[in-house]
Amino acid sequence: MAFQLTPVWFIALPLLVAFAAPLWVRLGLLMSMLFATPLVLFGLAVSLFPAVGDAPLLETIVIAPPLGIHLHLDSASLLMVALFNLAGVLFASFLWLGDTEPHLRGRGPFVLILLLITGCTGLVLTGDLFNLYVFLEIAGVSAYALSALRRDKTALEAGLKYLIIGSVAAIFILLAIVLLYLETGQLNLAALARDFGDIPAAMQGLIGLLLLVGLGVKAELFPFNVWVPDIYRGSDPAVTSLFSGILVKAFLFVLFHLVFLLLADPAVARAWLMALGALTMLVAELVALRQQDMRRMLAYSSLGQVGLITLALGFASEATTAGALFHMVNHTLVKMLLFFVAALMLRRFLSLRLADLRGVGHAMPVATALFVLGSLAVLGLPPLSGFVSKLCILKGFAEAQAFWPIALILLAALIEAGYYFRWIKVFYDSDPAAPQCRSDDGPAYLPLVLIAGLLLLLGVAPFLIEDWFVQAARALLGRGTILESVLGVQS
Amino acid sequence: MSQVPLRKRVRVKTLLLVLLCGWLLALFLTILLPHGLDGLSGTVGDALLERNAETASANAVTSVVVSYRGFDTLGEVTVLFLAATGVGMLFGGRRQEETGASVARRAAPNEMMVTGARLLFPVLLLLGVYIIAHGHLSPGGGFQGGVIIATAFFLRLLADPDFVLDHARVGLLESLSGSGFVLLGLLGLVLLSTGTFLGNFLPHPVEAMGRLVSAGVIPLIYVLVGVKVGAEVGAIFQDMLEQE
Repeated sequence: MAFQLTPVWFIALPLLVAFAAPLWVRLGLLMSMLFATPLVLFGLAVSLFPAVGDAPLLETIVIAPPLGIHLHLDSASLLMVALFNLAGVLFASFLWLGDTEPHLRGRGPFVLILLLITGCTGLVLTGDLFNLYVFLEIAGVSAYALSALRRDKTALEAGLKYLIIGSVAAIFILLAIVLLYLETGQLNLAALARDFGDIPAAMQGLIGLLLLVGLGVKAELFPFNVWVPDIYRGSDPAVTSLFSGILVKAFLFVLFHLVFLLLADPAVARAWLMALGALTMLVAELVALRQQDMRRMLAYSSLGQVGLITLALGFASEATTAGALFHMVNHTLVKMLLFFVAALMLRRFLSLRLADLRGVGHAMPVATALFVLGSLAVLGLPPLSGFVSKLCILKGFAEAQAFWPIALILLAALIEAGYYFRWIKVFYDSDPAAPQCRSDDGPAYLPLVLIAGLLLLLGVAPFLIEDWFVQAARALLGRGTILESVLGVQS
Repeated sequence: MSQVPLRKRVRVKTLLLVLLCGWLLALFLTILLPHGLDGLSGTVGDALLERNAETASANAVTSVVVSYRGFDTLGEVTVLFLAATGVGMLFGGRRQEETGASVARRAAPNEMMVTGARLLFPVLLLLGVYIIAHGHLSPGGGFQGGVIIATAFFLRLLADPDFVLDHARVGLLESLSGSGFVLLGLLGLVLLSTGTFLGNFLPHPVEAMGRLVSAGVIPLIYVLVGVKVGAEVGAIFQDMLEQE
């Protein structure tokens, strides 16, 4: 009997908890299990950080890597896993403490939420291409069902739209996997990376295009992201925080993991990815200016940040990659905060349109203050973590003498400031007709305040975890290390 | 009809979409067809087939599905579980709002059909059980057998007005088999000295290959997969039926 804390627990434990859901219903432990599972896994992730610093942890499942499935835990994937589980803890505590709507509290939502996090964890952990597809389906199917959770007209429309577009994207990815298998006869990511260079150039281009379209839809990049605002508008704002905070991050990570792994020289794709990122960022920020609904505004803002992260990751230098990973963490926290605030406001005012939220700053002072804090963090103002992560990215570009991305990022931040301050101004408008109902749902604010504290802490003392991001960037870019650690085991 | 102008009768966008899909399909076929099925050699699949004896499962496909790539199978079962949960939430939840209305509306089918379905039911069930239990020996297995069992229940649900499936019991079965799958996987991790998740921790001597009790943990896992698939597909059928 040996009880080991291996990476597979990140997937096996939540699966077990989700399958055993009827038991938790009977014991009345549903919400506490939803809270405890990510908490335990977050603890496990933190405890594993020192171990993966030296060498990536490989976990064989049944048969050794090039033949079988393995889980690949290095600094980069561990960072993502820790982030997803932290987000899961925050989300569960918001549901638990916040006395939320019954449609978020049953057995169904419990299973879907838990498995959405598990699917995303699997996406970043797996070292096998087909296994990646399976986790993509797990994350996808739970997201489709979650977006239709409220079962009114907009929610059902969102769910149907998401189902169709997500399935089409998955088919693109599946075609790319079929072609890769036909060309190389391998499914292991490291073995594919070794053999990818031998594929004819035209075929490489086709596979790359299929993957880019499929993952571009999933990661909400520019020409493929027209569906996003409708889905963010139709879903419950609390659920949307999971999409923006976890799901997109997982797919972005997968996209760049594949790019850095398959291409011996990521500079081939650099221009394309950076252009996509820059376009995503600018288009989204410009469209966000005229939005009249808070969820749509936040959706476009989220797309803008995704574009910024893509721009920085696409450049593929160590400094910008570290900055981009930092910004991912940061953006997950900020968007969870903002969408939680949106959920609280929606519950109170039953609408999130700009005109209906006039003077909300007087009715819900704490929530509005947290919204202001969150928007300042998105903009990247000094005492908050957004400043540090954006500075990291800009410094990375400046070191490499690339100045056009810097100009674009600053321009995007300026536009962002334009629309966030427009909303804040309306919030603090003194309107005599402002709704004056004061019934504070106190405990619901606990996770929000915790996020705000984390944002401040990361902004004031980034040195606490800055090394992790650099290490993670090295792991993400370190194609040689991955190939050696996986294929070296075999010989 | 004739008053509608031509540009409204012919939907250009739809037509273009169809053409685009057709062109993509043609392109894809021109790429795929040169790769005849014998064109592939030295693939992972071949390597796994060569090592089939290790699992002592007479059906090589089963040893790949349940053992070597058992993690994928666990994932697929989870996808099905999610789909069943989603369908249950979207379709099934209205039962409380419109109680009884849907049950009463359905007219009773004729006697021939009811009796026929009742006679077929045990035969289908037996066939499903056989296909699941022999998954490691002959073509078939948990997924196929599970769907057959679900079909048997679906037939009864459609044809037999007195037949009701207990939601709670189906859910319990689903959760027990799913948890069992993960627990078997974890036992492999914990019990073996060189333990891996889903490792075959029961004795599986090669001499026993071809017998019903062979291949260690593989048939056990396949039985759980069968129960789970049966319960989930059955639950989906039932939720959609009650929705009417």
